[in-house]
Amino acid sequence: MSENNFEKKIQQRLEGLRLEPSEPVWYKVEARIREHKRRRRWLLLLPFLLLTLGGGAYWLLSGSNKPVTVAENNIAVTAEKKDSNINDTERENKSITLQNTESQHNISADNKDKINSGAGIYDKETNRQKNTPRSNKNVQFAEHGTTSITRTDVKKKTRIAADDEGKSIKQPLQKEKRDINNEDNNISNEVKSDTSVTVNPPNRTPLINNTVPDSATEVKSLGNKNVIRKNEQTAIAQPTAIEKRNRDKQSLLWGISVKAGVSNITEALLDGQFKNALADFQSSPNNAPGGSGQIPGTPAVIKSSFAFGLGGWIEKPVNKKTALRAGLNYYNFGSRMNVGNEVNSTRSVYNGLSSVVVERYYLPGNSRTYYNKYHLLELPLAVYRRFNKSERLPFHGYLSVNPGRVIGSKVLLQDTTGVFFADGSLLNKTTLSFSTGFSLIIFNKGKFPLRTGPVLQYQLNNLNRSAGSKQHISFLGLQADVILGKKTKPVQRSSSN
Amino acid sequence: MCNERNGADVRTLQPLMTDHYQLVRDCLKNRPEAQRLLYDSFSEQMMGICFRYTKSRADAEDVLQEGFVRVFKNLHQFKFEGELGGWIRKVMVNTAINYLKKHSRYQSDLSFNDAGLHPISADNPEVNLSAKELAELVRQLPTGYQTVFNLHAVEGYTHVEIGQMLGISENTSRSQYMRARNLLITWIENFSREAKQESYVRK
Repeated sequence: MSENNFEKKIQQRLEGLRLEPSEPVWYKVEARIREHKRRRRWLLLLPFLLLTLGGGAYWLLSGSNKPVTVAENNIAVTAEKKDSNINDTERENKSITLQNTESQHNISADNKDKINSGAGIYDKETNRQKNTPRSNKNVQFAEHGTTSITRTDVKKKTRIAADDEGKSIKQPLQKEKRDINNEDNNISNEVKSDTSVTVNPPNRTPLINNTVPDSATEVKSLGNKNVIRKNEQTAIAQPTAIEKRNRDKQSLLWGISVKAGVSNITEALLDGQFKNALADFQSSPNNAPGGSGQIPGTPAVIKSSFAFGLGGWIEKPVNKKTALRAGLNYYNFGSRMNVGNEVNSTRSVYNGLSSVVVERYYLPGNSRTYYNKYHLLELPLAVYRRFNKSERLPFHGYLSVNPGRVIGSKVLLQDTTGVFFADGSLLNKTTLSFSTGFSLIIFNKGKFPLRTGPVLQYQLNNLNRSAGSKQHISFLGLQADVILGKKTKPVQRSSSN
Repeated sequence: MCNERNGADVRTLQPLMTDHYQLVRDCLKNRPEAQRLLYDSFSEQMMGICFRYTKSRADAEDVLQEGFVRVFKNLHQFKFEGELGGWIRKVMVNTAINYLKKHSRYQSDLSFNDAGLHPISADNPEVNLSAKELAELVRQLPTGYQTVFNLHAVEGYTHVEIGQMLGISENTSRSQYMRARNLLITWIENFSREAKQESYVRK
């Protein structure tokens, strides 16, 4: 009774204790809760950002692969010949203007000599530039002189100045500004063609660097104009093969990746410590009722659960058989286990590092199934190796190293008494895993080839920081990569001269 | 005007609990002013609790800060049953205990060596100390005693619950409490005696 009176007095007195905390406390609290919310907001935005980036990249890359059409309609190509004794003021900074319905291009070039040379027309079907040399020599742009090119729509003209001696044109028309040099300018041709003109984009291989004899070029008269046509395909066949080979070598693939399967945790937290705790309990004299020792429980059986992953990747071929891939993946790994009833009460539990007080926990039992969830972001770096030569069904094997970060979790841990509790602080946020598998590319000739096959992933480092834990995430499933695009790098034009 | 006054009266008469529930809802909508209001409403009371569990004011503020961060992060778990103050208090106490366990300067002092049952003291001294003075005496107890005393005498946890919270047996909790109680009674008596002597000297 007296004890109760004393406690009552103490309680009444201490309940009234009010102390004003210093002002910085609130600022620190505020900063931390804002930081927490900012992080959550960023995570919510992440999938949207990935989609936007992926979509934008697709749009850009798919656009750049298309050949640049200079004009959709008829075009007149005029090659004008100028005398070599044009005054110095005209020799400098000639502009080349290309105009069509879509855009306007200005091409300027410095020149030492005022030169206008004969040039070729562009054939739509072959994407090749045809030369119109008059002599046996190649039409060639060199350091001296300027080529003045004006491309218009139906009513406008394109002027292409070329060498009088008929040297081959080394550079195709490009969409943007470029310098075009010419050596001598003795030819003046005006050519009109009824075909639309397509110019290879800058990232294509050099078009023509071949020797075209005069005899291979035929100039036909069309009214008052000269139509220059290339005689057959002789000059084109060789560069096409080179172009294709170069393009295959330097192409960059990119796409999205989806994985689905089952994941599991290799060992329950404190599995080893359960054994130690049991041994301690059995040997301790303090384990009698009322003693400080607690009866150890049994570790829960962890079962596999559904898991999936999404991501984007970019792949760079190293040679015909090998390719390197990098990407960004999100994973939702999981596992499940049977737990007992939930208890909303405070309790001290041992988390493998120290005792902590939890406000909610689950008793051991089988009354419900609890699904653990781990959300990871990974940056996989993979090596792909091709095993066959089939173009229809390429077969690859791969090995990947995946550094990652746990960005969220909903996980129950178990202490040595068998009680389940949540403690995110124990989680090792940085992860490192490897994955391996095989893949088969189907619809390889289609617009969006699909690469699919089994994948096995295993986490190398420990998932939990606890000393007694050996937890590793393993994943077995199917992976499907959709190849959305291919980007070809610009190829340096090789001079055969 | 009359309606306004009536409205004001109704608002004044609204139970505090409902106000707190609304405050929680506003905080869950991430309204900064509501968060600040919640902090202002409970910070002094909670600081008193943190003060009792720690040995310095700086540590008490650390616990208070950590506790309020946990409150705001876990506010969605508040079930709108019972008093908000009680829920926050529970979070603060748990935060304080975790803080004591985590920090090395408290860990050595937080060992609960069971020295067996201690006879119950029948002393029931007059407690003429102020809340602050009494809290200062409680803080001078060894950390283990201090924690058990606070949990049992002030928070009202049973020894079984304290045992579960601290990972000790019920008997250990009981004996720790009795030692703390006897020590505190002695100090309160000494304090009162000294206070009396001081008043005699003044007279």
